[in-house]
Amino acid sequence: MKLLLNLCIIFCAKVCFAQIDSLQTDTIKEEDFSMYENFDFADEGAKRFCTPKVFDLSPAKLIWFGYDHQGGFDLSSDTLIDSDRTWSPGNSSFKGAGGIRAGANIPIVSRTNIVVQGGFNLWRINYSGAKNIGVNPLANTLSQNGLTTMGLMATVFKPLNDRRFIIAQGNADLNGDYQFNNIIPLQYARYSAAALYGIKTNDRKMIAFGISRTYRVGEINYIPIMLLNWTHINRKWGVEMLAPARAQIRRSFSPRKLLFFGYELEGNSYRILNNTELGLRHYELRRGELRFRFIWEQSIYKFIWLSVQAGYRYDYAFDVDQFPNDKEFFRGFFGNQPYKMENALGGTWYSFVSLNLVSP
Amino acid sequence: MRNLLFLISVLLVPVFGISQDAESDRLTGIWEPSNGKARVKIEKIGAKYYGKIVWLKEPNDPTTNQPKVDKNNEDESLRNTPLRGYRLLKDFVYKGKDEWSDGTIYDPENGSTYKSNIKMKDANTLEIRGYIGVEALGRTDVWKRLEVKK
Amino acid sequence: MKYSLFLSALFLIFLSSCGTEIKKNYIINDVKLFAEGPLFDGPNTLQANYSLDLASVDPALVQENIKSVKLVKAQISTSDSLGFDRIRSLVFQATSADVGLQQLAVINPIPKELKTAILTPSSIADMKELFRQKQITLILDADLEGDLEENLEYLGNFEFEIVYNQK
Repeated sequence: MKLLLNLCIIFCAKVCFAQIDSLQTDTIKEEDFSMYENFDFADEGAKRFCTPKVFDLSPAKLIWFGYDHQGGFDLSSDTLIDSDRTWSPGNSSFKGAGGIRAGANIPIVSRTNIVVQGGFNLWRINYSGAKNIGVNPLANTLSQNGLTTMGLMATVFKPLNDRRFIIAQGNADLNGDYQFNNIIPLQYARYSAAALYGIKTNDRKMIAFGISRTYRVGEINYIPIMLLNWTHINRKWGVEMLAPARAQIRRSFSPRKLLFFGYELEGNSYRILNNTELGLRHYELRRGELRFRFIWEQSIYKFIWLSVQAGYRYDYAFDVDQFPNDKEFFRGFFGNQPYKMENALGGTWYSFVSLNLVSP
Repeated sequence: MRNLLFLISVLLVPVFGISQDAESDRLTGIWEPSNGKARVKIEKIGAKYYGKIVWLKEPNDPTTNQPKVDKNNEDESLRNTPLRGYRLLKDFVYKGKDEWSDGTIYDPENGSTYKSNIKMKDANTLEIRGYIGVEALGRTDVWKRLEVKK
Repeated sequence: MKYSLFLSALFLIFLSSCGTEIKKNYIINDVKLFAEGPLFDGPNTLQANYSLDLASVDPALVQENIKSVKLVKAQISTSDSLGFDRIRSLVFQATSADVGLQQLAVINPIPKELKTAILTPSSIADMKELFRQKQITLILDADLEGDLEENLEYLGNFEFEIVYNQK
């Protein structure tokens, strides 16, 4: 009986495992490849969605860390008149300015039908080698405290179908003449946002139009914006533009070596709080810069990219406003409220080198 | 009695073994990424799963008018490999609970290979995540199963 | 003097513990790569399982001592009267149970009237992990022009350069 039982066990196991072996056959039966033209979704109602990329678009940066440096420049300040005192005009100069720029922009939700990214950025500008700053309170605070921006951002890319999409972005920035050991209160945060509606006509072109609330020119403004990402059919040339904030022409030497030429408008409104003379007077520096530059980006190891920028920094705005009752006001393109202090910053060359972890 | 129980348990083991393979083999078939630019056939070789491109919406390179090749491969000697037939999903192993992992996904657009996991949301839907290093630094794409048009 | 002798002895001990680096070729001759028909237009997969025999290279060679393995020659031949006229391209890959699939060589396009195709080996792929396995699967993807009712069978001849430490 025992022998019969054991034989049964062996027989059954052999049959069953033989069947398993036949599933892992050494040969693969092929199917008719030409028939894949005639396939459709197994699920009725399944949809295709467009992606936020076009061919050869520069890779999105997940994490970056770099150093920005500007050469020497002059600062020419007009008279500053406040209720209880007056500061004379003056001409100062700086040997240079620069500091760390770091940040992250991580996908929080990354799906076919929606992409949500969240991140932060950190900018520091130290103004060094000050000369003839005298009693100019602005020049003094720049020299002693520099400027810092700390910000949070969120971006949503929502494809509606395989061609149309919406982009929405929001930023909250804390800008001022502070250093990391004396951060200014959150009440001075400045908020900007943008919304666009667009169409991806093919894998080489996507275009969108929208509106933004922005501080890029130094003070709050509402302006129309246009997104254009386009790659030539030869896959060597392209355009990446979010006008009027930035625009550049791209030359692709390979998927891992890219050269750009273009410009970027950067800026923000900085609360002057840490200067003993201006600190309690509700002053904000409206900083806007236009940077014309070449950028070289290259993969140095898999997804780690080096980015090197060099170009010319042109001063767009460097005036000071005083907020009545400490409340921000809107000037826009047509407002005529006078600036509290008008300044001119000389142009200079600049460079920015960063290491970046880029996105799949 | 003990022998009978033993016989039953031994007979049931290979039955569950067959079910395990049937469960993991649900991944096989024809699938389409969300952008609709290609169709991928996932098949089993040995104990692992691979996905190869079987159809391209634009099969020819517009600059050469020839079938697309893997021109962005880091290895210059392999840049003539045709994209149709290219195994862009490689080495996935079934881990149970509708998940296949330890695989990689290749992006012919830039010649990059990413670590990858696959989750089957339902019989006709896959979530394929490609990432760098940690899963948080990645992107998920939803693939839908295809069948012959009715 | 004593110090120099001591250093020399230390150096010799160090060298002998590292072992000598040796380069030899491992040849796979006439392995049958097979795909069962009927076959259709497009990429079709031929396979062969192969058991590695490192002792044929060097009886003292063990898997852990392998430093690098590169494919230096890949040759596919056919006895079909049409040669490779109906094949657009050949891609050679290898894998095993514990090691990922590696692409090793390609020929695209294949010149007409060839009975033996010489594939271009990868200049980068290192197969040392594959050669540390006992058994590997050789995979040949053949892009077929038109349908074929019969099976497809090719003979593969491969040469690998193994660099290993001999202790």
